Amino acid sequence: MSRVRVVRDYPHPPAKVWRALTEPELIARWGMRVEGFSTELGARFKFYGTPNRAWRGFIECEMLEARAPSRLRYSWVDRDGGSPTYVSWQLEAHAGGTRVTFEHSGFQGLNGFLLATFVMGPGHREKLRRALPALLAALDDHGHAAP
Amino acid sequence: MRGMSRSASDDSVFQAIACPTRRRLIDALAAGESNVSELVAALDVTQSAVSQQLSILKSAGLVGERTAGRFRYYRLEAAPLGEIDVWLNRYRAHIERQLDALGQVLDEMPPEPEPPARRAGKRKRS
Repeated sequence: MSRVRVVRDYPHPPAKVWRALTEPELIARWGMRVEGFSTELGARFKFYGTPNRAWRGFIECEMLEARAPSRLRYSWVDRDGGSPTYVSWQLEAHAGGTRVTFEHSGFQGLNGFLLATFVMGPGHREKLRRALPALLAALDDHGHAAP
Repeated sequence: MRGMSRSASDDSVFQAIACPTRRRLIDALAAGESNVSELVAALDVTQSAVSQQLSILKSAGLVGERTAGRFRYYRLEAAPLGEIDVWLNRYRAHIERQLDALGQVLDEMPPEPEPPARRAGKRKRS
């Protein structure tokens, strides 16, 4: 089993970081469009990206832990019949701001390869830079795609 | 000269893993070497489906086989998929960019609505 762990400090209070991690319209601005997101335990929600020949274009998640404003954990299944991996966010007050620890664990078999190759896609940085304004324009006030 | 013995091209790997049944086969083989009847049981699909998909995976260089007694055993040849460290480093770079974007979102968000006692002396501009 392998994992990716990244630690970042932000000059903003945990409550604010918590909002950015749990409000769909804010999640869509730094991450992916999400539907059905809720911090209720057991809530099922989906992140949406661009489908391609090897990826169905969405990720199915289930909320496993949500303690505002310090810990968020959900499962992550990015393909039919795939085994789940797990994403967690840990928030701690630190130096007048917030220390955020992101962890994605449980990679084995094809999980990491598919994630690295298809979910984010090649040239993701450029795509993000170009797509972000368009994505924001395409979202209504609730963070959903306008019809 | 383009070495024929090199790992499968990206394109044949894409083709090979574009099919859900083949991805499930790869996952099953990632857990260890298996024979066809074990794979049939693990995936709950017909033997001919397993054999057919295995032959596609073999030609993409993703699966190898060996014979032992009456059985043929299949194993995952992970080389065409690259090393897991490579995938994870690529994913890490992606996460770093997302966390940069999160920082930007935070910078652009208005302050939290629970204002502590306001300071009496605001700083003057000029």
